[in-house]
Parts: sequence; structure tokens; C-alpha cells
Amino acid sequence: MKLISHYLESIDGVVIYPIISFLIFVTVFSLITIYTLRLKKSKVKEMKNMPLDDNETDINLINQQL
Amino acid sequence: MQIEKFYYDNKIVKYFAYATIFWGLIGMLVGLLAALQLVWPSLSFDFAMTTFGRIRPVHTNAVIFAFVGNGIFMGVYYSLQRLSKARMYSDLLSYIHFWGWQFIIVLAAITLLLGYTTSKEYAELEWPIDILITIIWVVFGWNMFGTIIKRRTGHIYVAIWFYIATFVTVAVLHIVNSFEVPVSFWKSYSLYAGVQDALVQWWYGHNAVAFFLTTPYLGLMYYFLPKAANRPIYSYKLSIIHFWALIFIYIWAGPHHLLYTALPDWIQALGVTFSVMLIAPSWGGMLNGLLTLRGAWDKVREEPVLKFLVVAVTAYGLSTFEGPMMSLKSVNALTHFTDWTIAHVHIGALGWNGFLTFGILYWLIPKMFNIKLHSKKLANVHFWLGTLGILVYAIPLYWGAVTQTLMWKEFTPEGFLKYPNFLETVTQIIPMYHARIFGGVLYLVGVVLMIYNIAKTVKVGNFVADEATEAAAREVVSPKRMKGEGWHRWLERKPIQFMLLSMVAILIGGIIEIVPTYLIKSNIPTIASVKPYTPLELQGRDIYIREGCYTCHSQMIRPFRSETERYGEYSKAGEFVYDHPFLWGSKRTGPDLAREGVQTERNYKPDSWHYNHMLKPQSVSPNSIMPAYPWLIKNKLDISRTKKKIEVMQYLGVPYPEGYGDIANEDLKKQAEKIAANLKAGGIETTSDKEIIALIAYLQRLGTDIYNK
Repeated sequence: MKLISHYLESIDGVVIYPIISFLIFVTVFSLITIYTLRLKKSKVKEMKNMPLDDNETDINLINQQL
Repeated sequence: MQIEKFYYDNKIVKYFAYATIFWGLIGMLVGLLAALQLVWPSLSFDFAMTTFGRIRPVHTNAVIFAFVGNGIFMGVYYSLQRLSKARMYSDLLSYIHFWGWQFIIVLAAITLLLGYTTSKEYAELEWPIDILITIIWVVFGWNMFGTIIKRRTGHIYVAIWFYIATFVTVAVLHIVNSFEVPVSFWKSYSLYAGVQDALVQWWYGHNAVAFFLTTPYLGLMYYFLPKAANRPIYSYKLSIIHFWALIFIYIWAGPHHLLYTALPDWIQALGVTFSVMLIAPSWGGMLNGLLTLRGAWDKVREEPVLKFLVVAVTAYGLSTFEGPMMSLKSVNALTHFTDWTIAHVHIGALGWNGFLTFGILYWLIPKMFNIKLHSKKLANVHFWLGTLGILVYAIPLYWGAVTQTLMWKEFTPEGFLKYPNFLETVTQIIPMYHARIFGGVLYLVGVVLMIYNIAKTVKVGNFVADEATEAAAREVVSPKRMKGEGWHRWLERKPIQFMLLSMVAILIGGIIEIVPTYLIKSNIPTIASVKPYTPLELQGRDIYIREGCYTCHSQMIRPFRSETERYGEYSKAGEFVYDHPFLWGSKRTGPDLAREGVQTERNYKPDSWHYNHMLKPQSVSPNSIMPAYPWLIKNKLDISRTKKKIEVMQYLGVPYPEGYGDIANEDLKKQAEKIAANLKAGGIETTSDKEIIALIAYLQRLGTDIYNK
């Protein structure tokens, strides 16, 4: 809102805050993306199966068989 | 490898599930009452506790913190145990958490109905409850981290990251926004004032939506959707990016919006690029959910659980697209203060939170009770009623919002407002309010069917309170990074480090976002003629807060011609410097009141008008949907706390003369006598010690300062 941003902008050097925040964000986001893309397939598979990897009888499967 | 036998605690999950259902029903019923009151104001029953201004915060708090809150805990307590292959860290903590949270909800409902409120939306609860919330939240976190630490799995699944982020961020938000100075046990003033208070409040409001209504439910989605579909999530990589992007965007991207125009060009260009890219993570989340079901859509046709989850995830996608659109300046100029906001949040609440909760309940209850759901057919009926309900609720409100905002802005060829009477723009959209009620009823009927269905299932089922299972003990690996192990992988198995790092991410982001907010105070030009409220006006302001007037009336005239024509000179930041808390409001069900007291403006009304209006709004304003406030006419004003109130204001930096608290009540009585005499001249017999006198004093003060020389 103009009413507020006007006063925010009048603070000395305030622009440094969004710039810092933006740059840190871009850096971290890029690092995470690079890291993620380089993940080994077998590890990903192991992790994504964690919710299904339990010893419970699956009631859904039972339901489907009934 | 040693196999250990242990038991999952299902009882606590059942408790939270029942609480979710119970408070969901209550919250929606209260919402229905509020919707009815907007059409038939007599349904406020001329009784303080059942008036819209008090009912509305009960509805929002009940749905957010009672329904969704318990829903979060239900899902977390179930999935965390399974994903960690461990029972919850401490049963005692589990039950302290459960009963503590229910106690908070009951306290919240009672105090809000009694009018004890801070007036800050979704943070209305007074300071003793704020402290209680902090304690119970810590109990929850303690229990959660204890469980993660004693887990038997090597890594921490992505759902748990979302839980951790939720815990950390909600704690920070809640504490920062709750800084207030008590006047008495149930009354406090916000530490911040005016613009600053508004910035902190909406920093909280925006992020609360993100970290209470979104991240924990995304965690639930990443667990329960694969479970219900019996297949892993479509892309785990996408979920990692989704997580980090979401955390950073919400907390970090805020300053861009406020400071956009002051940024150098190259950053703006980059910013735009990223803004577009950043739709990807939330839509990435949605697509990740939907694509999990690829090749299994035949299952969706048959399984109501999956139907609920699919619509929930779709509603998430819609909401997260609509939200950024609404933040665009030109769109916001149209949608702000209208029912558009109400429709938007209900797509989120009814669609995303509601449907995800129902889906989980339909899956979880049969599972824990070792039986099939009583009736799939009934669940399907619930699904269709709910889906129709959402549409019939939201579409008319969108329609009404556009109609009303266009009416507000329409001028005649001669350059006058086409609809100068605000009420005209309200009566025009009343049919939409009728439709909204119908939509809400459809949705509610669906919920009642669900309760019946679940009750029937539970009745014949065999509940397993302690579910036996076994898992290999966790291999003890070096806490250090192993050879060939990436740093993120290392992080993923270190919960405390993970929490600390996400906390650092959030804190740095939060600090950077909030520092300008703290600096702003000294940058708001003071207006010499803006003076602190008189004691009577301050008391009147507290009545305004108590009755929740801000739920329907804004106090913020935007610098548009359509607004300055209607309400008067636009609001200046310097006018709010003594407003602890700010009362800008977020919705105009009635007209803006920022210049209510200015005699030369269109909206000015004499004292006697206000008196009659409060007694029976329809007597002076036919067809008005405002409820009546007869108790203000009868109740005596409590002046025993005037001194304390003035002193707290002084402590907060409001420049009353030293020792003014001691003589404040003398001034209060003098001003009250004047107003009573005024009313008498208008043919109204009353005494000067009534609450209505204070409220009139406050209303007549609104917006007048800048006109005083």
C-alpha cells in the first residue's frame, strides 16, 4: 500500500534489506535445486517409499480384495 | 540386526480425530449463524454475546485453531510415529498437549463471546491465553522432537520437515505478534501502534496462513496421499524443492511487495523472473499430489478418500494462484475490503483444509478400528454435497464482491458518486448472501453425514489403542558426515540441526523483513494536531474493540477518488500514532469510519443519530443489516480502570501529562456531561454514565484531528 511503502522507502538505506533477503534466497534456492537434481536415484527411491514401508496390513488392499 | 517390538499410540490420534470433528461442527455452525446474521440482523438476538461482532472471531478462531489445529495434531501424531518407527516420545506430553489445547479452545470461545479481545485478526486472544498457547506449543514441539530423535529410521521423510517448519515458525510468529502490555487480567494494549501495529499484524496474518493452514497440511498430504493411493509420491525431488522454496518465499519474499518501487532496476527484473518461477513450488506441490495418482484415476472414481484428497489439492492450487493475483496492486484495489477475501479464504478453508481433513478421517478411522467404512456411498454423497457447497458458497460471493466494488467506484457523468449511500451497495448483494448460506448448509449437511458414517463405523469396529509393530533398531552411525554423504543428506538425519537451520533461515528472513517495520516508527512524520484520545474516547474505543466493530467497519480511507468522495480526506500514517492497537479493519460490510467525526464530511452524524442507531439501526437506516446494541444504552461505563489505562498508554509512549491518570476521570465526566446534554437537546433522555456516551465520544473524534488548528 502506497501509504505504508512511502514511509518505508524514506528510511535511510532500507533498500539493503530486501536486496540481502533476495540474494540469500536466490543463493539458497539455487543450491537446493542443484543438490536435488544431483540426488542418486536409489536414495530418492528409498526415501519416497518411507510412508509405504511399514508392517501394517493395508486395509485399502483388503478392501479392494473384498 | 536387532529387531525391536513396540507399540504405536493410536489413542491419542483418536482423541485428536474426535476433537477435530467436534470443533469442526461447532466452528461451521457458528459460521452459519454469522452468515444468517448478515441477512437477518435480528438473529444477533439483541444480546451482546450472540452479536455478529463477537460471533465472527469465534468462527474464525474455531475453524483455524480448533478444527484445523486438531486436524494437524491428529495427522502428525499418526504419521510421525509411523515415519519414525517409534511411539510418541512421551504419553504424558501427548495428553498434556491434547487437553491443554482443548482447554485453550474453550477459554478462547468463552472470552471472545464475553468481548475480551485484542482485535488483531486471528490473534484476538488476550495475554493469559497467549501465554498458555506458548506453553502448550512447546509441549507439542518437545514431544515431536523427542520422537524424531528416538526414531528407528535413518532419514527424516519430507512430511516431517513440514511439521518442523510449522512448529518453529508458528512459535516465532505467535510471540512477536503477541507483545502487549496488560491493563488487567483480560485487557491489554498492543506494544505497537498504528502503521507499525498493522505491519506486524499482517506479517503475522500472512505467515500464519502459510505456516498454520498450509505447511502442516502439506506435510499431511505428503504422507496420507501416498498411503491412501498406496503408491509413493510422484516426485520426491520436487517435494524437496517445494519445501525449501515455500519456506523461503513466505518469509523472505514479503519485503519485495512492500518495497518494490524503491528497488534498483536489476533487482526488480530478477524479482519479476523469480515471482513467475515461484508459482512453480506451490503448483509443484499440487502437481506432485495429483501426479501421484497418475495411472490410478480409476481408483479415484471408486474411492471417496481419494476424491476428497484430489479436490483438496486442487483447491490448494487455486488458492495459491489467487493469492498472488490478489496481491497485485490493481487487483487489490478492487478486491480489498470486499467479500472477495471471504470467498478466497473459504476456498482454502473448505476446500484445502476441510476436504483434506475429511479424506484423512475416512481413511484413518476404519484403519484404526480395523474395519471397513460403514458406507462408501454415504461418503460419496458427502463428497458431492461438500463440493457443491464450496461452489455455491464461493461463486455468489465473488459475484457480489465484483458488483459491490464496481458500485463503490461508479460515478455519474456529472462526476458524483452514483451510489452515495453505502447501504444501497449492501442491499444489492443480499441475494448473494442468501446463496452463500445455502452453500454453507450443503457443506454442513455433508459433515453431519460424515459424523453419522464415522459413528456407525466406530460402533462396530475394534479399536486398537496400542498397535503392536516391530522394526530394526537404528544403526548407530557417526554423527559426522560420512564419506560420500551429501550435506543435505547428513542434515536430513539430524533433526536438531535441521530445526536449527530452518529456524535460522526463518529468523534471518523474519528479522530482515521486520527491521524496516521497527525503523518505520521514527520515520512517520508526526502531525502536530494529532493528540492522544481523551479518557472518555479511550473508553469508547475499548467498547468499539469489545463489540468487534472493526469486523465490519474499516478505518482506512485509501487515496482513490471514489473513496475520498465517499468518506473524506484519505488517511495519513501520522494520524494513527496513538492507536494501540490499530483498527483499520479488513472488510467493509458497513461504511468506513475513519472520518466519522468530521462535521464537514458526508458521513457525519449528530450524537442523537448515533444513539438511535445503536439502539435500533433500522429506525434511522431502513434495511440496514447492522445488529442492535441496546445494552450500550443501559450499561454503566466502568471507569474504575481509567487510571490504569492512561498509565499503560503512557508507558507505551502516548504523551499524556505526568500524573494525568489521577485526574483522568474528572475530564471523562465533564466530556460525558456535554454529550448527555447534547443528546437531551436532541430529545433523548439519558444519564452521562452510560457506555453509549463513551462510544459516541470516540466516534465523534474519529478523523477530526487533522482539521484542528
